[in-house]
Amino acid sequence: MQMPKTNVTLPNVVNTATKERKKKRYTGVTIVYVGLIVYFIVIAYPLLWMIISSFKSTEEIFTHSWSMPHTWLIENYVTAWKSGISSYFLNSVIVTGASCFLTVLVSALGAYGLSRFEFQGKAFVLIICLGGLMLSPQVSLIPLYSIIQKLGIYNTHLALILPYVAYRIPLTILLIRAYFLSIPKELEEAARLDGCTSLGILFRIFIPMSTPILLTTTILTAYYTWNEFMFAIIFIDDDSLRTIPAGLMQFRDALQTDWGVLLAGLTISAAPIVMLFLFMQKYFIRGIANGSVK
Amino acid sequence: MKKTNLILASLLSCSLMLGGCAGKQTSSDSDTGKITLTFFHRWPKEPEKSYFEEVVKEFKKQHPDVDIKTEAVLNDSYKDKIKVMTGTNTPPDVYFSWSDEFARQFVRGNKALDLTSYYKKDSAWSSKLVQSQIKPYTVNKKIYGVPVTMDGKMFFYNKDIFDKLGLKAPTNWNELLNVLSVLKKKHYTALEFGSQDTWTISHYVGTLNQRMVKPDVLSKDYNSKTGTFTDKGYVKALEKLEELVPYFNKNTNSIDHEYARQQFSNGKAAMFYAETAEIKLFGPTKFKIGMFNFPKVEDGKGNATNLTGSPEGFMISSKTKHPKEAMEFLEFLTSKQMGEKLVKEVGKYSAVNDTANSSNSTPEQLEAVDNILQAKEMAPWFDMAIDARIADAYLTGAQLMLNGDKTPKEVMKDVQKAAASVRAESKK
Amino acid sequence: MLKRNKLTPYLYLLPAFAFLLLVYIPIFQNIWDSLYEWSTFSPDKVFVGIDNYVHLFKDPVFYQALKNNILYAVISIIFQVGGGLIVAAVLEDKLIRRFSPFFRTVYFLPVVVSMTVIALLFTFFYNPEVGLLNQMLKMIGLDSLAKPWLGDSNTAIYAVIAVSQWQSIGYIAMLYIVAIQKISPELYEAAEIDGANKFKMFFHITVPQTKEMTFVAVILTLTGAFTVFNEPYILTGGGPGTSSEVLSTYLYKAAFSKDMMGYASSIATVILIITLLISLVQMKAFKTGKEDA
Repeated sequence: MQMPKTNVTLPNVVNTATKERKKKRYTGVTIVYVGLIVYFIVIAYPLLWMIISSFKSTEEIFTHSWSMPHTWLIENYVTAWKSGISSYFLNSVIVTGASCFLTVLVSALGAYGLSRFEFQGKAFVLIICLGGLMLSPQVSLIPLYSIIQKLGIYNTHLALILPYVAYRIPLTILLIRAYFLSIPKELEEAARLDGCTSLGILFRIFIPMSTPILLTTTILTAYYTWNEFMFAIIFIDDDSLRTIPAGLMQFRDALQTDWGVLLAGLTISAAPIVMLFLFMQKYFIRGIANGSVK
Repeated sequence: MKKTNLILASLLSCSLMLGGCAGKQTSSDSDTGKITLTFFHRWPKEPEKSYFEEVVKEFKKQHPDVDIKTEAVLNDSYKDKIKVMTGTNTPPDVYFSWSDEFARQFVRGNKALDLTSYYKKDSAWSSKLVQSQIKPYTVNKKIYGVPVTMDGKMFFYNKDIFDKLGLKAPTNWNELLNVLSVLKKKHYTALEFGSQDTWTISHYVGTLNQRMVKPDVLSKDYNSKTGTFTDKGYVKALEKLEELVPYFNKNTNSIDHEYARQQFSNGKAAMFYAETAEIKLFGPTKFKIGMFNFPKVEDGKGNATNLTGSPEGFMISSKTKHPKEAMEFLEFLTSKQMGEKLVKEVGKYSAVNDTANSSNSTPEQLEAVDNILQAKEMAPWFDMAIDARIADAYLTGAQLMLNGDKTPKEVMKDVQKAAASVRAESKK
Repeated sequence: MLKRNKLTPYLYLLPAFAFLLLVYIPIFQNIWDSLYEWSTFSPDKVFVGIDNYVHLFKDPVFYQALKNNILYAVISIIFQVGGGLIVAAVLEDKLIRRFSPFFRTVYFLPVVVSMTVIALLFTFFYNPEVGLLNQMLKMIGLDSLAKPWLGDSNTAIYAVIAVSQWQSIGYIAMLYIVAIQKISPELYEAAEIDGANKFKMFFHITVPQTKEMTFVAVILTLTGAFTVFNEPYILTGGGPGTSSEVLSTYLYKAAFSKDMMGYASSIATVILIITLLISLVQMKAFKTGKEDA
């Protein structure tokens, strides 16, 4: 007697259960989306504020901080570009470009050594590589200044490039190493069987496979060197060699700051990095890294 | 293996060369046969930047055998960079320096050139300077710097609001408190103050110390070797500052000086304690601006009338290879012609006499200059008058006092401790 | 693991070591300098042995700064590492992946914006009268919570820490996204077939599989928390008083305002020791480099 009943009731139970689960999933997803959008607003609103304020006069920023500009001062951008950025743009590009290239290259080599080889003192070496993370650059200002003077590179682009690379290596090595560690050994063994040298494996397999992390580290190095201020001011005297952050300083002073123009300058300055980041996005497509053993 | 080494080595050297090519060599004297002076100042922004560029250009025209390389770095970074440069033996020939303690640092370390003989020799030039502005650059009766601008700190007020309420500029402390309470009762922000940066507090504290503490006690205490800060006058000075707190805007520690100035120039606050150099920064206001010196304080034992304010100027490195030319440049910078140019184009007050007139200054600016010239005595900026460590203890303590987190007595205890350790060190 | 020639790994690390000299020479210089006292203006260095350290360990501001750094560390681990991982996991989830590029771009943007701008922005945000934060609190009727965030000694450091989180969560999330993308989807598919829900999958697959990246994230966050300089310096200068002072700003003040170079070096050495210990502990705890069974 019960059997037929069970047969009849079972599908209903299953249906309700599935419906319950589906409802839960939709509510779950909605909550998540709401969370993402709230977080989005928390991040985007201040950034929007920055852009809107860059069209205001200093006075308006102080008195009407949260409303739309009374008049859209495009002159802010013109002024910022003409006196703050244009002459310094090329210098920033050179310094940032060279720093990124060197940092990623040197770090990739080092990360390879650290992740794919067994040798004595590996842990010790790892700690040494982390050295740059362990202090604020401000601390090294005076010793570095002497070193740079002694090396004869003071007041040249190298005075910035070399320290930047040195201070970005720790983070970059850590990241690339973490990524390399997750690349399956089978790939290497297969290449070795094909007669590849270790260097060949690095350049023909690891590097192409690591595009996401290499691009990430490039961006991270780029944003640091592009915005770095302290070394840029102290290690370079010649106005013609200065980078953008030093150039933008023209709009600040203890008693008075041209905030509108400064914000315009900083927006212009942020643009190339943002564009670089957007360009990088397409390399984050899933599946590039997987499936290459086949 | 060898191949790896080769590749690595060549990669490295390529990148280094790439970076190096983009650099430049700094030229040395012998290259051009000219004399090169390095000139370092703290104004990379307009209008000062162009002013100095033009002064340099004009000087070079008149002295074709001298080349001047100018570098300008912003205020805070300036303090960093000049320290780094001086600390490692590559100082600029001519460099900006605040007066008093900041200048004394250089003198103590033998990094500044003694200019007294030039002052005596070129008296036609030196007599045209406002004499009261030379003392802040004088150490042990020797002159080490040349003042270029002068400044004073005064109370500025909104004349329209005062007229409306029938108020007059106060002449003593009680009158000041009266004025403030009337303003408050009528729902105005009586006195705007942005104390987020401690230097703004140092101006109040410094002037109050001048008013409350006997001058000889003050000079003993401001000297690192003998300072104890135990006089009750210091506590009283801080208490006077506390008396002003109810009339300030709320939360002064969250507000910076610039924002506060905007509140005054927008007519939102009735009074503001500021430097005369800021008159230009008020911009065109919808109301008339009046000013008065910090009033005398009735129960104060100190100097009742001096004006707080210091010159800013330049010093010459003791290691310079061209002292004569460097001094010529500074004398040129402080000639009457360049002084007038400073007033006109930059809106600051030149330390050269008779440079401010109605063709280059607003009536308020002329009034300000007058005040400075009339001042029987000037008092230096407080944070430049004492050892930096004592100033730090004083100001961080006072900042907490403004929040109600510390009492005047507690602040002075901290100051006394700092003074004791400075004293101990200076005896070594 | 390869083992062709004993020297090979060292050769790969050689260029990095060459550059790192620029980091280490100043480090050793600092340690050496901490045994002396001098000012940049006077040429004589006076040997004082461990005097600077004795002075430092008696200094109440040192302990206040240290406490602030510890606060920084704890809060950063929770929000940046914890929050970053969760955000990354959410964004990489099958259901959300469509919109992921959009969200992650925005979340990462604060990282590329210079600190000068962010500081200005938040100074206005925290302004007691016209600031957005207090205005929002007023709107939802929480007036009583409105404070002068940057000007109150009790809240100043938290306000500063919050700004760092705002800027950096997206940064760590980005790193985790890269790591999560490397996880083989088959692991998730298998788990789903076994009936695991999202939470289970997160804790049993995502977290273990991103172990190496977590090691990086924790080291970065912790060392960052002890070396942080820009945010407190620009937002509050360490104030009001010394309530939001951190070790780096205190060091900077000692060196550049108070002209106590040896003392500054001793603070730098202490920071170095702390971060070194943290890194060593992390390395042990994560057993980094060793592969999972």
